[in-house]
Amino acid sequence: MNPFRTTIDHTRSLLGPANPVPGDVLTDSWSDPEGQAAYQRIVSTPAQGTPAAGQPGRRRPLAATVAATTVVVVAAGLLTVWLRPSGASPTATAPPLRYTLTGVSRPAAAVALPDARSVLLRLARVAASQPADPPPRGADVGYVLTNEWFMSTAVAGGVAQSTIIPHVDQTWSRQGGAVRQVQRTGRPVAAAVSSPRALSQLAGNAPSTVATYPPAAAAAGPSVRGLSLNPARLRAQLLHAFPYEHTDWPASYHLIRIITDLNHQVVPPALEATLWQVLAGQRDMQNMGTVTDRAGRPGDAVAFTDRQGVERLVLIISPSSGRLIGWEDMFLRNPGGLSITTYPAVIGYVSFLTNGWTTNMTTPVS
Amino acid sequence: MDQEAWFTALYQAYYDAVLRYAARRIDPETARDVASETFLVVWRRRKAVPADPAVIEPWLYKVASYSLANRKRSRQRAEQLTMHLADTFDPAKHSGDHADAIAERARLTQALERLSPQDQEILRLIAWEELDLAYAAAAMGCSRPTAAVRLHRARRRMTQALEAIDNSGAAVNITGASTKVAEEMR
Repeated sequence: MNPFRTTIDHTRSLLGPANPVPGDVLTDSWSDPEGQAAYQRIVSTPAQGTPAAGQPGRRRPLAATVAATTVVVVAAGLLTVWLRPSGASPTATAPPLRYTLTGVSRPAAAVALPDARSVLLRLARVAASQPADPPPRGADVGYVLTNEWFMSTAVAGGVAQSTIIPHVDQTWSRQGGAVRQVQRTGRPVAAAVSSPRALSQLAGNAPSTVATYPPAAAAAGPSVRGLSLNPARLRAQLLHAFPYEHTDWPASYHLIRIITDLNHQVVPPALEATLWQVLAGQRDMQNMGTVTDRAGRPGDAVAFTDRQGVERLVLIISPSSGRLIGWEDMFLRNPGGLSITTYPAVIGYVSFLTNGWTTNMTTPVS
Repeated sequence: MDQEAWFTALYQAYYDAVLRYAARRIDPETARDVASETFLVVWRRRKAVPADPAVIEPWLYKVASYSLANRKRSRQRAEQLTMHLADTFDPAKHSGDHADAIAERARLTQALERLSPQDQEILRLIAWEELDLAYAAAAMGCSRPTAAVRLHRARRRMTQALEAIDNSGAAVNITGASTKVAEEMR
């Protein structure tokens, strides 16, 4: 006899009478008025995501918070069957940044690029050489301000229509793990591409989302405080961290996703250095050369491109500090049905603008 | 399958289970909020939802547990659980002897509340959510062997807590439920 089976049966027998909500209670509650009202509230918010496993797709880079908001997008190759561009208006997208790489005429469009190992190791050394920047006495709350822009694609009647949704996010992370996030979302932009300046104007808008999380809830993603400075251990931690631990993404893609989420916290230079060491160990990381980011800052660009040569995630890292200053999500070609006419197309980006320490969970760092 | 169709199928399949999970741990009103918040995460983080259907339910419980932790911490509603649940659900429906059932439930609940949150959770996941060990482990974010050890120890401590209650000679303190039981027994 399976000993666990006995243990389980005994546990159920023992505690069954104490079950305050037996299994035959609250049946079909999804269809009652409250369940339906909740459903309507949820689906009326911007969604994220892409169907099916195994395909890198669009994502919203958010701090390690479960209820953080998002956007949908279309994943490479996934909606091919359902989407048809006919009938949809062309979607404006942010212009690709101008990348410069010796020997490659258009790095943004090239599928094949040199590997990024040496660049990442150099950036790791730069990050490791930065002062530790511990929180000042009495200011133990990390603050990160980002400007973001995402393409949201809705599908109706077999036609995909995309719009652009700008965001400004402020994230406060206490050393103990509590997180507060305020998001301001602009109106969908149908005809023009929002700029960082336009995004910054959102800062005056009323928040569209204000969420606070205690330390336990911050387990929606790893806290920088619990991460190892050993590259092998750190890599394992990142690949097993909630909420992406069940995905079967390629490791580099997975690592980039979680690294961009992590950077909504104040990442210590030593950890940043270890992050780049981890990525340097990924053979499929590509060097995209140098770039000036959307906030006008110089950056080194490293990327991961999916096997289909459709989607690319680009990290932009400051050559002087080794800090992540932005990331971009691009389609190199149409995955099928998107109402975008020019490729490569940027379908989302995040600029990390302010990063520092403050005294409480509401005061920004200027 | 498009986003909304996929979400609707998931909502219909798991909303009840998630709501029950929450209602077993917090008052019914807040349980609705927890269930709603859990599915908001599903909607917004579709790619984080496990592709393996067998793992979806424990994954949802894990997400719900974060929401619960947040709410319990800020509002300390857990203490009200017994009372609210006693008001909400009719135990007579599930037991031949109404008064005995309530008293036994109160005894078990009191013993359960003497355990650590981790012990409570593994017992509840196995007994109330009826998860097997592997899925309880997934819901708790630990390995199966770890869950097995936790279950073994939690059962032992639960038994000890029940013995302590039985040997104390004192009446079982069933707080909110005690009032209701007393009223119903008159």
